[in-house]
Amino acid sequence: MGTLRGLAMGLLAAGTLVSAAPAQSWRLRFDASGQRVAFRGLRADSVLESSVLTGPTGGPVSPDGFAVRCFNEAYCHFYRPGDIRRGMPATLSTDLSMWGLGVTGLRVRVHARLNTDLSGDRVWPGVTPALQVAEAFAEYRRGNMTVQGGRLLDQGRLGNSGLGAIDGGRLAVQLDRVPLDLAVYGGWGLARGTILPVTSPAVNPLMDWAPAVRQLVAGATVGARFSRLDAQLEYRREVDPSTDYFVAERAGLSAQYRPLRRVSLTGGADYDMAQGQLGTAEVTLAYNAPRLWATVGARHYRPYFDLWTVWGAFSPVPYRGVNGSLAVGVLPTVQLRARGEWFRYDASNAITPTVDVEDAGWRAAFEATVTPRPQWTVTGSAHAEQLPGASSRGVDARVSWQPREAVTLSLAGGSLERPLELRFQDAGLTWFGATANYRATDRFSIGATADRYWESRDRPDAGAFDWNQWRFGLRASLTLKSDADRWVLPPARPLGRTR
Amino acid sequence: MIRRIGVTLLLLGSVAGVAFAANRPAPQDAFNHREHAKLFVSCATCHAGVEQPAEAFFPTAVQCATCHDGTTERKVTWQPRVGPRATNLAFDHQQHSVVRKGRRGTGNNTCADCHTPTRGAWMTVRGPEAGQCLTCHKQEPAKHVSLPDTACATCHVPLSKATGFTSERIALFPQPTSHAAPDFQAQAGHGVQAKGPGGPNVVATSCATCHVQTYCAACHVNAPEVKEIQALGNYAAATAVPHPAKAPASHAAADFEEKHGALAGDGAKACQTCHTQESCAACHNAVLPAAARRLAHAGPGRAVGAVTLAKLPSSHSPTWKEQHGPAAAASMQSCTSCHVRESCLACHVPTAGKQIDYHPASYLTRHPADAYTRANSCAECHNQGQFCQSCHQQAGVVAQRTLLGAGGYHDGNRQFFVGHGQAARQSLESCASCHVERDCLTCHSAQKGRGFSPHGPGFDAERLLRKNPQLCIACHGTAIPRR
Repeated sequence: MGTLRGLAMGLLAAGTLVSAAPAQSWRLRFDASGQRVAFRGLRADSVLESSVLTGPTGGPVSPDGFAVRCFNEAYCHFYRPGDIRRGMPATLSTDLSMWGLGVTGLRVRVHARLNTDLSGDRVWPGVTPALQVAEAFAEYRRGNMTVQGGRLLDQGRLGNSGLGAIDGGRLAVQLDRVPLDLAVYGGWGLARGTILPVTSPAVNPLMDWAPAVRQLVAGATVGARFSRLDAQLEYRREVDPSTDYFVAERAGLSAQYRPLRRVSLTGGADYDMAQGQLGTAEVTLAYNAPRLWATVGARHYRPYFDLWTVWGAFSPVPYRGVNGSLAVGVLPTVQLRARGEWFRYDASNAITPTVDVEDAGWRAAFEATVTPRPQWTVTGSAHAEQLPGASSRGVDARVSWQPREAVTLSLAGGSLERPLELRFQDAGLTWFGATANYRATDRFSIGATADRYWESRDRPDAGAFDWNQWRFGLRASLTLKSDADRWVLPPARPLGRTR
Repeated sequence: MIRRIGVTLLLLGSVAGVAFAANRPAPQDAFNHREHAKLFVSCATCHAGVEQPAEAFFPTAVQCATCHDGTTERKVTWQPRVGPRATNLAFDHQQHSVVRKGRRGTGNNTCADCHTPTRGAWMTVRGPEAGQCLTCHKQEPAKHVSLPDTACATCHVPLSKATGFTSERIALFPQPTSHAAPDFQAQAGHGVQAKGPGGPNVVATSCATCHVQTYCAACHVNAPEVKEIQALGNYAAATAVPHPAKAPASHAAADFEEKHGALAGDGAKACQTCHTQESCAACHNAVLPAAARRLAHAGPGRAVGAVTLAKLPSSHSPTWKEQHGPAAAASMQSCTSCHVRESCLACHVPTAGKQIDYHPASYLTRHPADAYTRANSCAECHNQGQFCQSCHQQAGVVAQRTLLGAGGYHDGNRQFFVGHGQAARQSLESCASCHVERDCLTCHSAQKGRGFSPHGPGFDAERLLRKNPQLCIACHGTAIPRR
């Protein structure tokens, strides 16, 4: 009921905003989507140590055949197959842009979502809280200066690892005489990788220590734009206002150099000033021709943790890897793609003589796309990942038919195996599905997906199980525009022509 | 229920139909000259005003009713035209009548000269053809719509003054041959031809004969600044003429998107005809380039501007989806040239109700392989607590608050519990998706645990102490060791 009320209020607010504001032009887009999903996990259990038997392989097992772990206490522990959890998450997104509000250069933008789980169980991540606002800001642009205020997404290398948000303001200036753009921003930050504050219960489901206040964020960026070089230098600090201690302090540099028309060198690195460590860095040399794309690169990955947690003190070690990719249009109707990466972790300096853990891994994938006719696309792929912790290998295939520009029908299927390194469990999955998309008009489209999954968890004890599920998805998108937006010239390029 | 809806729709349809019929004007009879051929022997009987200024140009309805009284003949609804003539001709019958009388001996010199086809029967009436005018006006009849600019005003008034025209009639205007020239749409074509001979504030007569301001403004978003367009008059029906605007040839080049910034130049003069700032902002979402800022804003009196459909830059290879991160960080401005924020949000802020296309359909089962070693940084789109922990909690794969209880999960190695250090330092993000800090501090705390130090390579105690002492206090209390 609360969700419905929120939904109604959201729609009412969007409608009121649009109708009340004397905007010269506006666009309002609604995206509604829902899916039926299920998953099956584990359920912890224990038996009296006195009842434990010796299993076929010599290890301890429960009377009903589950391998158990005993620690010389009264009980031995094990995991049973869990119940099947079903969810029906649904989301209504509203994306509104308005400009021409009577003040030249002023625009307003809002992107908000209403979430619910129609099954009532809220088992699927991301459905709480019901109302989530990704962006809601007013922007005033005059000449080379832009001022924004409200909830802003901060896109950059440090913006909460790529894309974060703040509730605050940003001032950006684009210099005319020199190819530089400068920006400063500040406000209250949100948690990493989400649009919720760190104080929200939704980002702390296990009820661990949680900050009582939101962090204050301040940062600056300097961008250089040349014909062959783009570079961006960033600095960002986050402070706990209740103690004035740092939550994070980082700097980052990203650059792309284009020495030749088809060649680019892209790289970047971030530095954790709070820990005094190089964070994640990468460099990629790319060659892009009309029917040949190739990259070679190197990567240094180190996880990053806010100083609100103690995880950083556990000294996570980085890995260094090399990677490459190749895509070739061997014929106008056939494209082959391959990519791979090999990496090795730095020495962890952890003495674990009784446990042998992989410290290097590789991943590779091969794909082929065949377009025998313009309406038909057939894609097949195979992937293999031999990695510390977990591996996987499998194949996928998809056939798409587009009888008309507005209609796309697809059949897809695949199979994979996923052994774990740290647990006896070799999961297997075979799936098959169909998707239909229909764009009724330029403003309205719908789509539906139905997938069948057959999954197995293989173990040498009673913990093995098989199960399957149907997954369904529905989505619809509606775009409304103002009259001013409709009076436009014909497209500069025929629709559908992308290259 | 369905029946009720059907009845309601039927009622609504009936009411709408009745209302439509009631408001619809009765069709007016058109006068059929041919049917009346035996009745009239002279055009002047009804059209005396053609030659006599004091007389009416058309008969009155009363005159028709002399015969069409409902008894002798059926009643008719014909009425003489009122208001402006539905033409843009500057033709004056009386003036031409005088001229015609002065030129007796050169043909029959009757109304039929212009209004009846050659060898047509009496009262086979039609409108005059341009060729007939041009015969006398010493122009080549075959080139009517392609005559020199100076010739138009001889017979035509500007379209803006021909307010009796309907949209349908205007839409049937013939197109001059000049309009088919390959460069006609360019400035060198119609732009040059539109300049009138009398200076910059005058538009060529040939343009004004068929076009009004609103027609030009449909393409020219800079219409308020173009004096030739401002010199045109205006009225609404004239926008009915179709305007088959095409993108300039330069836009079809394979590398146009990459080079259009350089082609625009600092002043963007070549762009200002079709593009407003808002037109550019449709792609250049974040910060407008300097050239775009030279353009006019969309607003009252201006169209929004050309629709921009960008094509893929060469950098967007088939594997671009996985590789775009570093390039986006280096040049987000380039991304915002084509992408609105919504395209980022679709993946970077996952939608609970929708399976995101970024990951394959089988990813729920497959994800541990990527998550353990971070093929890409999961945290760019997923919050550890909101996404990983909440789902693992539902699946029962979170620590059970007692280490021994959790110990049963990692059964791939019998001694994993005492030898997990390397795995933890390699994949700490994965640990934190099921474990909370208190699980680890059971052993790794200097205060309440067993004192196993978690600090490893690269740990800078002094620096962390300066930045956030609370981090140290969590395990050491106030007795933080100093080196």
